[in-house]
Amino acid sequence: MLKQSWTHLPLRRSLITMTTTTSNNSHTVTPNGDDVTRFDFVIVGAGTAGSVLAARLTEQPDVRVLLLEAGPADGPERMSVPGAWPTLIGSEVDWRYTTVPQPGLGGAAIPYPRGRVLGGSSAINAMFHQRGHRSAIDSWAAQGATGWSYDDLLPYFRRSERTNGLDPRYRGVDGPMRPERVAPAMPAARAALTALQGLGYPVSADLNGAEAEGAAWNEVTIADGVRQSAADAYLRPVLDRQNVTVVTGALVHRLLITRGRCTGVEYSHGGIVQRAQAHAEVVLCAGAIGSPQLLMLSGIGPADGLRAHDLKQLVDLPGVGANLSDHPLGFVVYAAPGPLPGTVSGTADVVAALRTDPALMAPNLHIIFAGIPLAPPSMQGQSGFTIGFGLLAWAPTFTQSARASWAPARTRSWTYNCGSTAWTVFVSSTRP
Amino acid sequence: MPSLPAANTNATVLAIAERAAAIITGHDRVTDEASAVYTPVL
Repeated sequence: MLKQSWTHLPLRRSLITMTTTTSNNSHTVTPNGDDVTRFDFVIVGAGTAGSVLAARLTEQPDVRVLLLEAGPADGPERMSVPGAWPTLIGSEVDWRYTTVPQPGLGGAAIPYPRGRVLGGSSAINAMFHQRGHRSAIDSWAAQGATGWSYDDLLPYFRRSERTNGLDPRYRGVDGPMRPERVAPAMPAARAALTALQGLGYPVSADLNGAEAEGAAWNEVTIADGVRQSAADAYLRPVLDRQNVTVVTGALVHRLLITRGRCTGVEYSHGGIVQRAQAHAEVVLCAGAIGSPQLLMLSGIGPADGLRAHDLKQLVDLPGVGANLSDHPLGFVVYAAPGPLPGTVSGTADVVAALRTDPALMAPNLHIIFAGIPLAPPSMQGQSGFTIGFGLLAWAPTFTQSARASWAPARTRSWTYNCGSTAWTVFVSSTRP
Repeated sequence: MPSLPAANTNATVLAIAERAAAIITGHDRVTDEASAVYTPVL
């Protein structure tokens, strides 16, 4: 139940007009004479986290949630087609970020895709459903995040998913996400798995279960042959709830801070600047780039950076926008003289989580096999396959800092420092 | 995430968001340290 301290506050639902579009069953709101709307919770960003939170919070019918998404309610039809995910990079449902020129990559600036649509990056990514390794997550608690060990998170991993025939101690059976194992239907993929086994790597029956290390058939967020984004799994099934309002095309400019407390957000929608107030909380789910960016735009961040961009400082928090880590992936693409036999999954068929040094606490290397050429445009349409090498180091070994750009929709690049030896590491660490 | 989970991050984000909802709705408790700065509202 809601606490009395704010449940009695008037909820001005009469100020908004809700409409339902027939194409995507998403709600939009239009202000009617007032530029302030009031809810219990305002969630910024309808990506993976925002979709989960909107769905779970509105399970309580007396909780009213506003979910703001900068992108559209839906994108091109190919978003549902697993094999089309590379074409979504740089599309209208991608924020189209790029890094600044990278000294370690010969000065190249590389695309840094982030989903800008309901579902966020879960609507455009390569659909991997991998939890990672117990030791890597346990390191969070060791770094000071008390209460966030693997065992602490395990009930929520299980709650999020619905699987069949897997170890129920680790795997959920009644959650919204329905990850599927890639069917071993391509001989070339079977050969890749056999090759990894021949090199001495163990084969795991379930990388998301007890054996979180080794080579395995990939598990992906594809249900019944189509991509299942977080919006598909969590949000779209609950859009008929009267207590959830989703506004797409809503770009949040800043958080509203009153007497040291975040009370709402300011955003633009349809060219009009509006405000939404939260009686309970504002939940920032704008992603690894968007969330620190919004904090900075709201005066919460490193003092020197705020001053440099003429932003009023409310809180000096040097860590905001710093220490971004990621798992870069490099591809070796092989052309084939003709179509490869077997069924194409559209993403990586085989994935291996490996240690380059047995002394490491957790795997630090991903090797993938994809039965499609993840290739530059000059090779698109050709047959082939891809072997990828990704750095999984759970300690941030290559990233020094990443500070988001400051203007809400203007600047699209930021510092992302790949160490000069990063790409060499991929090649030299592929042997056990 | 203080550091990478040694995998793609989407599945872990799902779990963190599930737990965030549980904390907000009072179905999970925050640690004693966190309770100094956060009180679940539901």
